[in-house]
Order: sequence, then structure tokens, then C-alpha cells
Amino acid sequence: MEKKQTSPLVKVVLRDGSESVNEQVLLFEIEGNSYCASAPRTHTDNNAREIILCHRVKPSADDAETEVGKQVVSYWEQLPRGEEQDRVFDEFCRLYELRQQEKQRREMQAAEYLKLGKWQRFVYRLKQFFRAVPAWFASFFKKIGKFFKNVGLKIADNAVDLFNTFKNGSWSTRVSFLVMGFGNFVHGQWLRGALFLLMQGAFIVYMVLSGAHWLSLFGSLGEVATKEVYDSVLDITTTEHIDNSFKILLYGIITIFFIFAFAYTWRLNVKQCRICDEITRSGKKVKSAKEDLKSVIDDQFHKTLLSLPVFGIVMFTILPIIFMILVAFTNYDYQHDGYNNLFTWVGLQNFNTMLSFGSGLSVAFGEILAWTLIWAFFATFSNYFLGMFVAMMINKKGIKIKKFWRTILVMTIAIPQFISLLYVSNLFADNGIVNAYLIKWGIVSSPIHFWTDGTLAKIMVLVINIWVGIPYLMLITTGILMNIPEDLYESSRIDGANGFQQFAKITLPYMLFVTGPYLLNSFISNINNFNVIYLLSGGGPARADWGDMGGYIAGDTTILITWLFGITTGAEANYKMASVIGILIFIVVSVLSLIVFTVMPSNRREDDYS
Amino acid sequence: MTEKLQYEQAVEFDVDLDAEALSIEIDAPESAAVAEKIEYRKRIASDQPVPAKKHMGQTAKNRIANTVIYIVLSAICVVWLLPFFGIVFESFRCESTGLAGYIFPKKWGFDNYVRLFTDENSNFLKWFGNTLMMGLITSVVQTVFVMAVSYALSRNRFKGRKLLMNLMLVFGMFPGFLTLILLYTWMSDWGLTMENAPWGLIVIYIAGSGMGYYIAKGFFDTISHSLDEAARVDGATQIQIFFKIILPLSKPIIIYTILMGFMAPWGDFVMATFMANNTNAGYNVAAGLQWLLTDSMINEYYTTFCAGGVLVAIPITVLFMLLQKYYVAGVTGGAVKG
Amino acid sequence: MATVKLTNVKKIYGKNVVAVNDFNLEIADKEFVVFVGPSGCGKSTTLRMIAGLEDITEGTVEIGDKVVNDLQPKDRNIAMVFQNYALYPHLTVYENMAFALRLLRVPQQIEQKDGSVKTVYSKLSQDEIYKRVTEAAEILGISDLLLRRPRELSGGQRQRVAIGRAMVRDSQVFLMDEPLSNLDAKLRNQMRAEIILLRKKIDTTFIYVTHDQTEAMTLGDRIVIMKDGYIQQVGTPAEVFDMPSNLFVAEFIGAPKMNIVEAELTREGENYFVTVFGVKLPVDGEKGEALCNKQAEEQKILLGVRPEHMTLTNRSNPCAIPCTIQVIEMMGSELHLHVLAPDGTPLIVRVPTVQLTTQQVAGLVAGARIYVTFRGKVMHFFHKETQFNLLSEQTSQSVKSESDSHSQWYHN
Repeated sequence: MEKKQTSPLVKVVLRDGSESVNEQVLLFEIEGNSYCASAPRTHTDNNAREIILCHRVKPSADDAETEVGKQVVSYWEQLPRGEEQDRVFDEFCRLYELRQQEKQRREMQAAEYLKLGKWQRFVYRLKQFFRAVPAWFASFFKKIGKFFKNVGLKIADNAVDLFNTFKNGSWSTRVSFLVMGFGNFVHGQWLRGALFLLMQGAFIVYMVLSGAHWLSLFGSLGEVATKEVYDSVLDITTTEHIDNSFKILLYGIITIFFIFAFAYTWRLNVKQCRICDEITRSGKKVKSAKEDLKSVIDDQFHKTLLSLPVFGIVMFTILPIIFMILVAFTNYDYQHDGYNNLFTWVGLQNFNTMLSFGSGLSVAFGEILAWTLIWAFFATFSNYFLGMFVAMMINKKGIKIKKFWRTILVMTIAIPQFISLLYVSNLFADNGIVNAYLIKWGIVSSPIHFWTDGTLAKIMVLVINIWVGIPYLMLITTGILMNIPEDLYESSRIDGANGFQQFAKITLPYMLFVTGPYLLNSFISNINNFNVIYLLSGGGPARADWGDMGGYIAGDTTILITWLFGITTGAEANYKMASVIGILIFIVVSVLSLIVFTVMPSNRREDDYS
Repeated sequence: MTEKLQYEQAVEFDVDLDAEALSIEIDAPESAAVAEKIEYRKRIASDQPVPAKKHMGQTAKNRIANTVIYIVLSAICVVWLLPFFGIVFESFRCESTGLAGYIFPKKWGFDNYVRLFTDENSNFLKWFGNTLMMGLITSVVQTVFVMAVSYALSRNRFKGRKLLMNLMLVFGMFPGFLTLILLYTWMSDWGLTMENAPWGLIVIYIAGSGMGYYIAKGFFDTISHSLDEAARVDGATQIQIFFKIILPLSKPIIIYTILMGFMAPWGDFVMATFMANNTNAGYNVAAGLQWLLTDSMINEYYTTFCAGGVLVAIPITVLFMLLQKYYVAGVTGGAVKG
Repeated sequence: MATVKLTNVKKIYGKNVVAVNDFNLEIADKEFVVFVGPSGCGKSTTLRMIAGLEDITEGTVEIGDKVVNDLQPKDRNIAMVFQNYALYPHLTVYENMAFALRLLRVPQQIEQKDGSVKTVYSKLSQDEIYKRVTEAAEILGISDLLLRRPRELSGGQRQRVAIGRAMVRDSQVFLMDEPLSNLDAKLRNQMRAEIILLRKKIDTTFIYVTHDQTEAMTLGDRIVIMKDGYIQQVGTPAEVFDMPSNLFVAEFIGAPKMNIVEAELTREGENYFVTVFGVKLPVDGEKGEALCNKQAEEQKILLGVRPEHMTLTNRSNPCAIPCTIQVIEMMGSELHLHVLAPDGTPLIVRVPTVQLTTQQVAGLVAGARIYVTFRGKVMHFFHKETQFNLLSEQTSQSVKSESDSHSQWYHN
């Protein structure tokens, strides 16, 4: 019973110190808090008890973090003398032993692994991979849980802080709870005060004039679309538009944004008053308005730099996307345009239409999603390998006029895709040049339907995409190929590797490691590769069996993004379904990225570069 | 006294030759050396003829390989350049205006170029002007925005930085077309659609440009932080560090960003078509020329499209080739940084 | 030209990563102080806190009697030389050195018409800048490089420019963060000598950070040895060499590093003896007196002897420790013998070659047995658990209490 209580109490994890081999870093977990300390291994018994006794519980001067060590000790010393202390100590030792055993087991595993053959290793790694999957999910959900817990804690912290600020604050601080920026004015920070006051004024005026109106209609997205109004002067009846669902939704979101921004500013205002109070109390001077102005170009310069671009992103990217996400839960289309006929919330109905098995739209969705992924896969890897191949050919020792070959390929990047791809598309048209020459030379009797035969069209877009993509890949890989240390190849030649082995054992692994993130990006951008599909095949040939696909005729080469575009601009203006597709694309892309980023070895942190 | 003496005489010390240890030491090198010698002789004996043969074979092999590579590269050049020559040829074709089943025109002339500027449907000059204006304005403002965001994110560790980057990452995963309809409505409220579409597009391009901070940030990350610190010790403010130290060092990435910003409007037909909403005067070259290829127009305007394509491609290509170095640096850097 | 005083300075990264802890130090005017320690010991962090490049979590930093905690680096009147030089690549050497001067605003007292004095901040004139830069360049011998850019310079030249850039500012404190670590060994020795010369010319307070104990010993008036964020010892080079306060300092200072063996300290009246590998050695001279004064108890200790203090002797010497040679490093003027003590502890013995005959050198081969001894005067005694020097003034008190409580606890 007692044991059970203590086991989550103390947890010792040992790892070798980073600084020297003569050091061990010990990580503790006591009641959920982790502590870290280091212990020298030199000149002491390697006995666990000794280490823990000497350096954990009795920190010496060369303890890495004596503060932490002290905390551990004080925790330990608080325990009742005798049995309780012994018990905790035994727990330390037990965990240390476990850790040592684990380490040994791992070393043995490593030895076993090294003895495995190539395929056995692959199988082993595959097994490890799948074994780790549940852990990822667990950690993923744990992270989400932790996130919400943190948010909750933060809100609670803020509430407590607010209360304390009010209780302990000066009178000006207390007034600032109502009149924003008051405390700043009192402390002579007229600039900050004015900004706060301005914010409060703007907020109140906005809410009274329109914000409250939009917010009140947000739940229903409008009640009355049009009203017949009789004009007694002119003696005619006109139709007057009352509510506009589109505007209600949009301005509703903006109002909610504004409320959050206001809440944040209000919190900031209170916090600043508290800080001012503290500074004044400690006898120092608060920052003057002049210093504030100076900091805009000095220590707060990053905020100055970020303000305008971030405002642009919020207004023109984040806000519209949130709007469109919400549209997926409404019945917004040409019948319910929000102006003549209001649209309203419909819950998950649209997702139901898209994902319910068997019905028209969902059949098409399955096939289009499958083709999107196939397309992205082949488009990415065909380009990658062929581009690398071309780069290696140009880079090969003894090949002359390297610059010439490169320039010709690079030139094709410069020409806008809509010109070259439209031309190529017409080149392969039924009455295009290719068919004309094929018939003229007697190779075929009737034109090959490059764009009207489903399978052929799929192959064509993939092949022509190679034509589009190779120059980019050639450029990218050339640089990286030249960075591979020459001595790797030299040493492999001494070891007796031939050209192909060099490629497989050195070039490819190196390339995959360095360009791992790029491959992911390029896969994602191929999922959204609108230009190639749209300009070449236009998504066709149309599939009759799918019928009307939300106001757009989808076809064999249609990928999600062209479908989305087709629906948006199509006759039915089926915005609700377009939004659903957009969200589904997002889900596909984000899940892919998550998986790749957890698995990829070259997932390096940004600070590693500097 | 005796002890002290011993220290003084320390030079006279005894060396015991440990018989056993020594015998091993003497033995071991001997046998090892012999084994190595034998090994060495064996290797020489077996290998000597081989390298000579290999050497001969390799040069011949190499020559064949190089020849094959030259042939493949030439073929690649032809395939890659063919469409461009095709477009140029089409643009000089005078005998017909639709698709033709042959490459070389039967009658050469500048008719298509003349039509491009005179035909009532083709508003090429206006389109070109629109695009040029968009390119110029966007490239400048976008570069300012991108530099600002990437510098701030690369150089400062402020509260909310991670949040901002994650937000941009997550929202960047949504397809951009999703927001077309809202942006259109918005812009049309402000009168920035139809014939004013270029201005609307400029606003949209610029507003979203902060999202493209990644490559420039990767570049800034490689500039040593001790430069900033040295400048701070030297008495520079943040704004002085930005303008006097970091920006002068970032010429390649600035030019890359300008180039990208300038080129984007020339190829964007989706947004442009959508924003112009069937108003000819609001098209950029991409939307306009593509419009010439719609089903009802293609037979009459196909060669005109090609002429327009040539006129668009020439300045862009020249610019691009001049600044190629910077483009390559930017693209490669972006790929490696991920 | 100012004192620097650090009081209880502490640096915590994130929530609980302590980089520097309880740092107390007073640096006198015009003193040359070296912070030395293994990487990650907090020495650079401390320097950067003095420079204002890192926030100070706790404690105060004073430069010239003025608390500078909240001041920007530029307002602290310091100059700094960075490890990787941090020269501005796009500026010429002249512009690099003039950069700070161009930003400088000098206060000038101007008397107004009504008699009041107004302080005006004005830029330095181009002539003044030229004068200062060329003067510094003259001292450093880089006058003919002024129009070059950093990438056209060699490592040593860049180093000089970096020093020059710091010199032109006439600052109160001169900070150097591992300035020589990017140079090759030969150049490093040369630059080290130049820094010693330079110091006479500049004559200001220097704080120098390095991980190389040789640099620390040769350059510093005083050395601050750090480990894991704590000061281990502060003292002149001779002090830290002769009386290392604990095992870490003992091993860190001096190359090859000090031999440490387990030994037993025994007492016979006023005389102390050390028993090591079964051989009983008398502790004589100063050390014996010191132990006597300290009333050291009989206990198990860690005994430290520097390799150069070990001597070879013959087998008849009662103090001889028989050792087996493992590896011999011939350094020219001296031999480094890596030997194994009777119980297998590895030791290093440094023997000057002039003391040996040719036959003797020939006899020193791997596997041979030699006899080693050392005098009581060169012994260092460290507490077995706490690793403090038994004779060290700074820590003897804490050693005692530490060991007391430890044993009490152990038996509990």
C-alpha cells in the first residue's frame, strides 16, 4: 500500500553527463516536478547508493545545480526520519537499478541489431516503427490535454493576478479597471494611456453602433431577407433587403476578433498599471513616453516590423479562412446567397453529404482523393529522381559546357507556366500538332485522344509535369550534390564501391537527409498543384457516371484543388461544398505533415543552425 | 639526511626489465610485422595486374558514358526548348489563326503582333500595363514585408513568436483558393474589382506576403548573431542594426524576393480572372491571354495568344537570366532549410 | 578604467537551467582577470552579462561604482572582442573600426547666452574618427589593411581588426570572449604574447574568457576558475597552481593533469604520513606544518601530485613506489611516462631528459618497471567525499561541517 504511494513520487533517470564522461546527470521527478543534478563519478564508488547518498541528498559544491540539489534534499529531509527516509531512499535505489538494467538491455539490443542482416534490420525497424505508433498517439493526446490544462491554469493565474492587482493596487490602478490607461496617465505615460483610452473608446463606439447588432444575429445568420416596402410618395412597392447572412457571418467574426483583442488590451492595461505601481514603489522611474517612442525603433523594433505584415495576414488570410471554415457548416450556395435568400447553420450536414458512403458526391470524393494522392506521389518522386539524375549527368566530371546545359533548363523556369502549359496542352489536342504529325507519318490512323481518354490523360499530366519540374529539381540538387564531401566518394572507391553503389549508399541517403523537409513541402504543393492540372487537362475528361458534382463536372484528372476551384466558380456557386473540400485538403495536408515530421530523421530544430 | 640524499640522487634510478612483459613485447611486434609483410606481398601479387587493366578499361568506359550523357543532354535540351520555338513559330504564322497541324508557318509575318495591339478583343497594352504595375508595386512592398517579418522572427525571441509561426504554418495548409469568394466580395465592396482588379490584387498579394517569410528567415538565421551583438556593443539601436548591418548583408535574398514578387503577377491567371470578373480592362496578361484561348475564341486568337506569350516571355526571361544567380541561391537555400 | 563588481549574480535560462550561480567578484581598476573553465561552466554567460548582452536574473553588476543592470550595452562604456571576431563583412577594415565612432554621441557643455550650461550631444568629426582609427591601426600594425574587407584578411589580421575595433572606443572595460580559440596553435601563441604587450599600451580593465588554462595562467593577473556555474577558486596564477581549492581546480590547472590517488592520512604526534600503495611517505616542510596547524584528523583522503613533481628513484629508497610503464611520450626536453601503480591506477610522470643518461632513456620502454617517489612538499590533500583541499583557507570550514553532517546522516 505504502509502496504504491511512493512509486510515482520519486523517479530517478540517469543519463551520461554531456560535459565529460566523469559525470552523470540525474533527473528526478518528485511529485510531478522534475529536477536535474549532476554527480561526478570520479574517485567515488560506482555504487548507486554511494552516488545518490553523496551527491543527491547531500549536495556538494560541485553539484551542477545546487539549488535543485537542495530542493531534493530539503524534500527528503522533510520526511520523517528513519523508516520514511529509508523507504524513499530505497525507492531511489530501486529506480536507479531499474535504469541500469534498462541501459544494459538496450546495449544488448544494440549488439543484437548490429548482427542482423539487411532485410532483418529493415523488418526490425519496421516493427519498431509500428510499435511506436500508439505512443505517438498517446503523446499527441497528452499534448492536447496538457495544452488545455495549461490554458485553464493560465486563465486561473490571470484571474488571481487580477484580483491581487485590484486588492493591492493604488487608486489609479483600480480606476484603470474601468477607465483604461488611467494608471498610465497618472504615471506620466501619456502615450500608452492615450492608446489604451483610444482602444476603449473605439471598442465602445463600435459595439454600440454595429458590433452588438452583428453579434445578436450571429446565431441565426439573419431572420428576414427582404421586405416589401410601400412607398406612399411614389406609390410603388419596392423590395428592401434587411439582413445579409454573408455580412452577418463576416462581421460577426470580426466582432468576436475585436472582443478578444479588447480583452487582451484590457488585461495588458491592468498589468502595466501593476508594473508601474511596483516600479514606483521600488523608487525607480517608469518609462516615459519619450522612451516608449524610442523603443519603437530599438528594443521593441520587432513589433514595429511585424505590425503591418501581421495585420495583413490576420485580415486577408486568417479571417477569410475562418470565415470559410464556418461556411462549411452553413447552406451557403447560389440558392441561399445570403442576400435574396438567407443561409443558415446546418451543422455537419455538408460533411455528411461528402463523406457518406455510396451516394454520388462521396463516390467521386473517394476517387478524387485517391487520384490526388497518387498524383502527388508520382509527381513528387518522378521529378525528384529524374531531376537528380539530370543534375548528376551535368555535374559529372569530364562533361563540358555545364553552364550551357544548366542555363537552357533554367530558362524554362522563367517563362510563365500559363504560356508554356497552354501551348503544350494544345500541342497534344486532338487536332494539335502531335496528332497531325503522327497521322501524317502514318503511325496512327486516327488522332490519339490525349486529353479525352482518362488513363492517357493521367499519364500525360504526370509526364508533362516532369517536363515542368526537372529544371527546379536540377537547380536544387546541383547545389546539394556539390556539397557532398568528395572524400566520401574517395573512401568508398578504396572500399571497392562502383558507381551505382556510390549512388545508393552515399548520394541518395545524403540527398534524402538534406532534402527531407523539401520533399514533404513539394508533396504538399503537388497536392495543391492547380496550374499543371488546370492548364493541361482542365480536370477532364469529364466522368459521366459522377454526374453533376456540385455545379461542376469533375473528371479523371480532377484533383481536390481543381474541384474546389470548379465548384467555387461553377454555375451553382456551391460555396458550402467548396469549404468542405478546403477543410478536407487541410486535414490531409496536416496529417501528412505531422506524420512525416515525427518520423523524419532530418527534423532539426531551427536553433541548430545558428 | 639520508632521505634528502636519495632525492638528490634520484637520477640514479633502477630500471627493472620485466622479463615476461618484455618478451611479449619483443615477440608481438616481430610476428605482427611478419604477418603484415606477408599480407602486403600477397596483396601486391594479386592486385598488380588488375589496376593496370582497370585503368585502361575505365577511360574507355568513361568516354562511352560521357558520349551517352552528351546525347541525353542534347535530347533534353531539344525537348525542353521545343515548345518555346513552337510558340515563336506560331506567333509568326499568318495564313491561319487557329490550331494548325504543323510547326513551321507557311506564311511568315507580324500580323499576329499587329492584331495583338489593334484587335478590339485584345487589350494587350492595357493588360501588359496592369501586370507591370502590379509587378513593380508588389515586388517592392512585398519585399519590405517579407524582410520585416523574417528579420523579426529570426532575430528576436519574443513572447508569442512560436504562436505566430505556428499560426502561419497551420493557416498556410489551407488551400488559398478557398478564400477567393470572400476576398472578391470584400474587394468589390471597396471597388477594387472589375476594371480596378489590379489594385485589388495588389492589396491581396501584399497582405498575404508576410506568410512567405520562410526562405528569407532561413537566410537571416545563417548570419551570425555575434554581428548583432557587436553592433549593440558598438552603440547601434535595433533599427540601425537592421539597416546598417543585416540588410546590406542580405542582398542576395532581397533580390530573390524582389524577383519573385515581380514575377508572380505575370503568371497568376486564377486570381486575376476571378477578380476582373469578365472585365477585359481589369485583366493581367495571364488572364487576358488565357481568355483568348477559351473555347469560343481559340480558333480566331490562337496565334495571337502565341504572339502575346512571346512578348511576355521575353522581358521576364531576360530579367530572370540576369538575376539567375540569386534565384538559384534562394531556391536552393529554401529547399535545404525545408 | 574602472572597477567592475559583481554581487550575487545569477543567471537562469528558461525555468530552472542555472547557468551562473552566486557569482561574487571584485575586479580592480586596470586589472587583467581571466575567467577559465570547461565549456558550459558559465564563464561566457558571466562576461555577456557584464556586457549587457544577457539579462541578469539576480544580483547586481557594477561598472565604475554604477549599477548597470538595466543599461543597454552601448551605455555601459565597454568594448568587446568576440570569439568569431564578428567583423561586419560588408564594411572595410576602416569602416569596421569607425562604426562605433560614427554612432557615438559625445556630450559637450555649451554655455548659453543667459549663463546656464546646456549639454549637447554631438557626433565626432571625420577628422577625429580618422585620427582614432589610424592610431589604433598603428598600434596593431594593420595600417596598410584599412581599405580591405574582412574576407580578404588572414585569421590573425581579422583578430587584430577585432581588437582594434574595440580599442578605438576608449572604453572603461575591455571584454574578450575566447578571442584566440579560432586561431591555429602557432598563431595563438604569437597573439597571446601580443595581447600581453597590447595590455601595456591600452592600460584598462580587462576581462578575458578562455577555456585554455595555459592562456589563463600566462595572461591573467588573477584567474577565476568556474565550473557548472560556480566559482571554484579565485587567485593569482601561482595561488591556483600551488593551492588549488578543490579537486576540480587541481586537475584543471596544469598539464598534464595532476595525478590523483586514494591514500590514507595518519598522524604520529606532530608528524603526518601518507600511505599510498602500501608505501608510507612522510609529509614534510610547509605542508606538514600546515596540516599540523589545521589539526587535520586521520582519514582517508585523495592525494594529488603533479606529474612534474614526481621523481624517479632506485628500488632501495624506502619511499619508492614501483610502477610499470605503459606508454612513453617523448616531448623533446622531457618525457611523459604513463605508468601503472601497483594497484593499477594510471599515473603520469614527467621527467626532464637532461637528468637522464642515454642508457637510461634507452631503458625506458613499455613494460619496464620504474620506481617513483615524491616529496611531502608537493603533495595536495583532498577530502575524499567533498573533494575540497584540506589546507585551503576558503573551504576548510565548510569541509568540516559537510563531512560531519554527512557521516551523521549516513549512519542514521
